[in-house]
Amino acid sequence: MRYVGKSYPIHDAEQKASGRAVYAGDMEQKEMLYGAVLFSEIPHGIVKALDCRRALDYPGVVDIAHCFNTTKKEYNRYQSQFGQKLVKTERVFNEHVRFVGDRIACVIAETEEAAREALRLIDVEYERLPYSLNVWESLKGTIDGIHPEGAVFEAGEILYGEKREEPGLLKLKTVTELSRINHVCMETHACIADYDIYKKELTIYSPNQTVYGIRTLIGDLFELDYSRVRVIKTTMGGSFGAKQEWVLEPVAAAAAIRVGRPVKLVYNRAETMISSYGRSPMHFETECLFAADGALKGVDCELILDAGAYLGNSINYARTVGYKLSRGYRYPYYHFHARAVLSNTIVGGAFRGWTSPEAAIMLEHSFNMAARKLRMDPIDIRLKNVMHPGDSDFLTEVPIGNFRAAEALMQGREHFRWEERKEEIRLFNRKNKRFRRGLGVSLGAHVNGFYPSKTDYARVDMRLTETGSVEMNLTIHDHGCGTVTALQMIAAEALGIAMEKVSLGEGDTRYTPLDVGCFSSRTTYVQGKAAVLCAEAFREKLKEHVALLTGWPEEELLVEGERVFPRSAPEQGYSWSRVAEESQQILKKELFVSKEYIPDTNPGVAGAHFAMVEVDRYTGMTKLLHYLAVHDIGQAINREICIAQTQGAVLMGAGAALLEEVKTRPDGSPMGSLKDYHLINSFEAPDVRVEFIEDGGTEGPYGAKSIGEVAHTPVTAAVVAAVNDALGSEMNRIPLTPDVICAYLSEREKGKKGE
Amino acid sequence: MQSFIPKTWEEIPDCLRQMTEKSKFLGGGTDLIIKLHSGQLKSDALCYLGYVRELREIREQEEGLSIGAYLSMTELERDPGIKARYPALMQAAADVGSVQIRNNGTIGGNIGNASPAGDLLPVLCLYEAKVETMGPGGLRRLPIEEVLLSPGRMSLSYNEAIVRILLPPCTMETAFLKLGSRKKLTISRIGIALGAEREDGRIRKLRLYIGAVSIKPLRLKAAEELAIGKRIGESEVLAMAEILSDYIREHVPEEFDRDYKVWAARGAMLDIFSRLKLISAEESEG
Amino acid sequence: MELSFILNGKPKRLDTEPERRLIDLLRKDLHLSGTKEGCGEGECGACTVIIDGKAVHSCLVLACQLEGREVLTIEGLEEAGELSRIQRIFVEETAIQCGYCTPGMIMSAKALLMQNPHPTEEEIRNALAGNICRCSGYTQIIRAVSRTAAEGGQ
Repeated sequence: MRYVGKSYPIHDAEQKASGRAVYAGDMEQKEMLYGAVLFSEIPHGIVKALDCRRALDYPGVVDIAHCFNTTKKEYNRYQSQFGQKLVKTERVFNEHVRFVGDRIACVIAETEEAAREALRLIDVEYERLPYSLNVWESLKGTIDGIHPEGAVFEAGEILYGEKREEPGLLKLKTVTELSRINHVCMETHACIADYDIYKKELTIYSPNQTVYGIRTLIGDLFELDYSRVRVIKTTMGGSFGAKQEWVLEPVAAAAAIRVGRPVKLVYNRAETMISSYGRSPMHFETECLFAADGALKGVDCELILDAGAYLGNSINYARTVGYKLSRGYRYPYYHFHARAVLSNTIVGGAFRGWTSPEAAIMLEHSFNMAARKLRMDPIDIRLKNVMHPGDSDFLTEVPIGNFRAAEALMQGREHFRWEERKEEIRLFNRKNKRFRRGLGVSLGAHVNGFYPSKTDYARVDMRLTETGSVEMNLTIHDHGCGTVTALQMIAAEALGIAMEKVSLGEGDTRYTPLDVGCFSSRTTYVQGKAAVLCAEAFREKLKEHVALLTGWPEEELLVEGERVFPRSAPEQGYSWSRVAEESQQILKKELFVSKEYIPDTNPGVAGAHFAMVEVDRYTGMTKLLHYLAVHDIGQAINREICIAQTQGAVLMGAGAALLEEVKTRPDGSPMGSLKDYHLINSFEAPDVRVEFIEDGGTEGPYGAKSIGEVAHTPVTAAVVAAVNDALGSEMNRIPLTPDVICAYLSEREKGKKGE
Repeated sequence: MQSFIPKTWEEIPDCLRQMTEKSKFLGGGTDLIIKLHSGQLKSDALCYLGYVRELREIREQEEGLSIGAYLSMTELERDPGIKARYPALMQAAADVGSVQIRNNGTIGGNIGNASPAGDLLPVLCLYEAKVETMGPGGLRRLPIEEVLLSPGRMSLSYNEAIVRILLPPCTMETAFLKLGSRKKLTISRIGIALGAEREDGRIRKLRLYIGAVSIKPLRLKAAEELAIGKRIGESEVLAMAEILSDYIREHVPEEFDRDYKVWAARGAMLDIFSRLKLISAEESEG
Repeated sequence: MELSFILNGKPKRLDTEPERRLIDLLRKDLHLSGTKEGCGEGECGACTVIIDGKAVHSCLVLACQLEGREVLTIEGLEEAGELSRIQRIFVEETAIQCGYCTPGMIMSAKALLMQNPHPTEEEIRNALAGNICRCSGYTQIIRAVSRTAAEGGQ
């Protein structure tokens, strides 16, 4: 292939390298104003009164939108499609404040400095209410009045097969605790909204994962006709799930509508970490049944998810954990039950992998503990249970297609030198009292699009320009990981022209087609496929036009080398440029095709990850020594970017395993600073090896499958496994910080002394 | 906001006279600017002395080494005189934050911040540093331990600037070690400055200053006494670590990572003694 | 206050407040938005610029500290309307994804190469430890810096 599988810089790499790329926070508009948001300083209460007089008098302040003068309509930040049935609990500004960081007001001023300074002059009178900072407190009923619907929500129950408690089965109980983590996109949240008072038209610029989702939510919230809400996706400085629920857009829209001028709102790091959303803390209690040969006979899993102050996606998120457990292994019995419980903490929301990493952290740990008890190798126990090509997702009954989990595990075992390292580590640990090494493996599986659970479709249009290039139109949202370039490569490959002859933009509800958003690892698989189909139709259209123009029979024509010519007389053909020109002049039309694609497949995609760590038992510090990620990607489109994305996912998941946690103080105030929230930096980053199994065999473009989310799925579980292997421990709470590890070792030592 | 930005030594006193109790000295600004920008701290004036040549110089003097208060961590880290004679100071400066923070952060600022986790502070105590200050009334010198009062507070007047730090000659071998929550770019949870003099393989003099376990650097006298006259091996270090752990258990409030520090004191002590080659690397690995 | 300093090779005079942060001066007053703000507290490195040959956080420098100093930002790297070598190599090595860390990353890398033209991988990792990239595992970035050094510097 000419392009697919090779490596190209992301489409705007040069603008980014030169500093010329424009992110939402960099945009400037005529007459633009700046917003700054006043957040609740208490975890739970009622705003009895707001005194804005001093703030309004502050030089440069234009207006203040707040909980008493802005629409009280309720919405759900998770809404991304029309008519979604969701519990709506949140307002643009909340009089009933439910966490430290809840929005109360937005000062609109001529400068950001004035807006922020004026915030400090608003006097808020609160009536305090009892608060809860975790699910256990909420389950006691402490905050039942938080919403009319209460604080505890059933998220769903899944039952598959029948439980058989045969004699000789290993019954394994595990508890899994996940802390709250944050996406930490380098670009903090930003949005500009502009309102034309004469056209009654609202325009929103924001880095987001679905322009149509925002249009729908904003249209409903402010009762605007959808054709009067235009949403434009801006250059995005990373998302990882952080920019698919609507936090700033409603505020900026309310402000712009109020003043009839563009309003820019940029959250700083603390505001982004506290007042947007993070990945929810979760508590799993699991019981697995294993046969003596390692066969998994059943899973009973109870999940309590801490949704934070607003429901957002939490019911769906908690339920989806259950559905992600049916894509990697086969087992005859499965029972899953989840609840989403509100608390007066940071709102929970989407995170890269959309519950598949969380599901993996729980289930993979059970496999490791079972392997230990059954004296099996952790890879062997997985191979015993893993799904194979041709199997189906046992809940949705959708075939998982060419799912190469077993091959990934076996390839990794060899390339990671698993057996040799096991022996090396045994010797190292025998000699060393202070440092202990360990190996971990885990398997993560994920999806390729929404099918069959939600509506999924894609439309791609292509038109030919007079210079022989192709303008492609579709609705994508590049998170910064190169979907524009990937689509350009796919289109150029399918069209048979040079990459630079294909151009495309990103989501803009005014011009680009209706779309369900860049979620669920669907962009390459679904939109890429639509691009291929459109390119094929485009080539047919070229023949059709040339046949009309020349009288050559269509079936005689070939499209090759940016020319269209008859098989019998290759020297005679038309360049694409001439086709465009004569179509316009003679046929009186533009060469244009539009193609729709509705996916009816959703193959499984797997990653087998292998980690080797060294734990300092005296300081609790864990060093990641070696890491290998093997993925059945089907076909890498932009190879080096796929590798880089996988390596980034490894650091993110390893960070979650070892360091990352948004802590909340006892008074309910969260710690929203990178001084407290550490990420793995270049100094600590291990060399991450990435291997792809590329044997295509899917409906996706050139056999491609997803990578961005599945790459994150197995990581945390693999690192946790390696730490437990090193210490002989059974911890499954993240993060395994030095404090947690030392506390564990200290307890263990006390236990030994006590014996 | 007002600003006082003298360009020469002679201009400083006049600036100091104009300062009020609400005014702040600006060093590298790596902590102060965050507080000013967030509104956490209000100030009526900033006094920045970074243009004054004398405050950016390292000079050999009869009574030791004189370090200008505006020397950055990077400059301390790279100075050959410091590296040769005050290696613990070099190590502490090199362990501060990122390259960017080390390029900006100053030794005067590290003292002025008076943070219990201030990386240089245990080292300056170890070297018995004197802080030279200039107030409207002129210059004075104070031992570092008298300058530091409690977190964020010094014994200096609001219009008294730190201008130089004097390090007397040091006859000990010295080293510094920091234990944070990760290997680099981390706030100190235990900082140890160690100095030792040996004679025939036995310890003649030992100094141990511990940072981040008390409101200011703690001199661990009981551990020092334990070492005198001994040949140091793993068991001696473990005994000293036990003294540190006991201190932490009794004095550090739980919310300041007490339990972690109690446990990790052993690893930190083994590492610092190994860094000074008082014990071997194998011994530090237990 | 009156402030004179050198910005991207050209003398600049302006009237500003002593407590104005350099990043605000650049982004808001001079409309140089290539320098990004990622945390405002010296933890992420996105706002890194070079002052007098050294990488610093522009969010932690005030106007009153700038008199006479030489400030270099990402906008100052292009040469004759083209990317400079280090920028071009970052592009070619696919060391850029979302790009928000890129200007700061390049400035840190450039400052390193100005002082140490042939750094080891360890030295590169150390010099970039204060610049967070959330998209990659730093592999391509480190490779780009090594290659820039090998091809004759920034």
